[in-house]
Amino acid sequence: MDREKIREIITGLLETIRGTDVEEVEVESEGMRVRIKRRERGKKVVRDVEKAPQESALEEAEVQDMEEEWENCHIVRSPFVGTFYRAPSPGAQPFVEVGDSVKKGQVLCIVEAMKIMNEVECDVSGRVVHVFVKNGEPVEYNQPLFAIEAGE
Amino acid sequence: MFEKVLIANRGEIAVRIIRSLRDMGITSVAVYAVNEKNALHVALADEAVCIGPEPLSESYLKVPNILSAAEITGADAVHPGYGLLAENPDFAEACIQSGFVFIGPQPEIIASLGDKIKARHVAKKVGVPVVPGSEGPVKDEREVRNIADELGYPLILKAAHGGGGRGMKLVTSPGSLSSAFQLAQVEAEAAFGSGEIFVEKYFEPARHIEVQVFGDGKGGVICLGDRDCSVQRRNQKIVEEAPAPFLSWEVRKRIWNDAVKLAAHLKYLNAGTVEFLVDEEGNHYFLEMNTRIQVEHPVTEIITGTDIVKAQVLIAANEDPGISSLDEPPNVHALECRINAEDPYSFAPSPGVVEDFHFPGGPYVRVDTALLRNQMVSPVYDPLLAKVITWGENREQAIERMKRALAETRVSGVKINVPFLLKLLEFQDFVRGPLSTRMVEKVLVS
Repeated sequence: MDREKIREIITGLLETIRGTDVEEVEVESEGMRVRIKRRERGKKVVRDVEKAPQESALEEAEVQDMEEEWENCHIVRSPFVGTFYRAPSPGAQPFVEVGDSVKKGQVLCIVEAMKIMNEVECDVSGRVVHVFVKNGEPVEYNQPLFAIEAGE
Repeated sequence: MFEKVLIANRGEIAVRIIRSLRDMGITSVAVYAVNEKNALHVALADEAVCIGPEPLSESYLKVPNILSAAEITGADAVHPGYGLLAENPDFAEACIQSGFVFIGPQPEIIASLGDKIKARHVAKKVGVPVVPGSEGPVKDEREVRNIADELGYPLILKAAHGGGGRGMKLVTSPGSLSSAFQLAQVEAEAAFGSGEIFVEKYFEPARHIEVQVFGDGKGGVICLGDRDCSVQRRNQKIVEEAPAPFLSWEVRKRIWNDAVKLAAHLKYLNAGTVEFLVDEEGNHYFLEMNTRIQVEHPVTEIITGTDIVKAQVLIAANEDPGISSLDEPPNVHALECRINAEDPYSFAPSPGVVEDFHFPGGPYVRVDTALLRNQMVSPVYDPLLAKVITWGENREQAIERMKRALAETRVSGVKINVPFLLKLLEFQDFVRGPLSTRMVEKVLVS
């Protein structure tokens, strides 16, 4: 097969899979072998980046993968370093649950930093579709807290 | 002993501290700004917490975020490194108030030594000579002129809350006094939040010699000898060495004694450095005391066979630091060259992306760096890329090994000052003495 032909095939392939959930394509010429792998919904994308040998305070790779699952959603991130609380006080009802409609400016959670309770507000209106962090867990700056499906 | 220590810093000093903690079996916690997720200190620490966006004021200088990081990781103590919050008494106080041990001196001592006018008063009180100058802050130009009539020119105007070579203006003649005074006030106000200025006689030529001390907080002081930091450009150190060469034992002993006297009087806790100016006649004058680990601490570590970070941690944990005062300078000489991202002749900063680099190694060479390939040398952070340290039985050996080490050094993507350093190492005054703070200018015109 000449170079021009190969280029044509690859360009065609790329065009075909654009916008689909195809994750991997393997082609072997002459003897003909095609392998197409589709992305399963909700499945974690395996990254080829090796994890640092040390244990990280927050599992970076996991956080990243989780984010990718919600790539079509608006992500509310932690503006502080501290401890994440879903309710205003222990035993109280959480500010929001998955499935709740939320308005811009509505309080979603509290991040406690040095005994100060910082309220984190939603910066869009929409519906809560995912909570990334468990109640009482530490969070760092910029860590994803909620996935919001934007809309009225 | 602490189980976990948080390092409130970045770059090479954060890496340096993590290494000692690892040796001591203490868990290290790094903090970082979002843009530094891939930095070396983050990779080497046992744990890491992102504390804010890129601007320093929102991350490495943001006290609540750093303390929150210490809280969520359960750290016992905080090491401030140098620069950033290291000499901020409010930060030290906040650490203590929040239940963390601050690895450094008492907050009130940081505050009083941070005020250079107060520091002069303390030195005078204990009989340590200070550079002749104003009693306190100078209010107006007239006051400066009165002092000038008495001391003559040149004079130097300094910000009371400056230090580390920043916030200084040289006045060489009566004609330039007015504008220099105004500029100094404006600059001090902008950089340090206080326009307070004091005046000192400017010695030229002079040497910059500093003494490494450790206090137990009760008046006991250990002295690890001196360093010479005369090779400076615009008051920024470029080459440091230990022990200070071309210095009589008589003068050296006086300087050590005065450093110890000052630290003992203050009941100083942990590591500190007392800086002196030494004139051509061997008279020494107190300049300031730095209440933190110095950039150039490795030269002292080499000649004394100590680990200064480890000693700091042990003192903070109320344990025996395992070091003792020198009786005389040891028969080892160490040199440190700062490899900066800058033009080797104009000294203009050279920001950019470091594509590749090679640092030296082999016997009698130590390199402290946090540089990684494809790293952005940001104008936000300082231009220090690495510290190359060499040593030998004598100064000549240390210099020859430094030449070998610098010749192996390569950095592509940004300019580095190595060609200047190599020229300096061949310069007659540097090799044979006398050393002076004007050396760099002389090398540049040679």
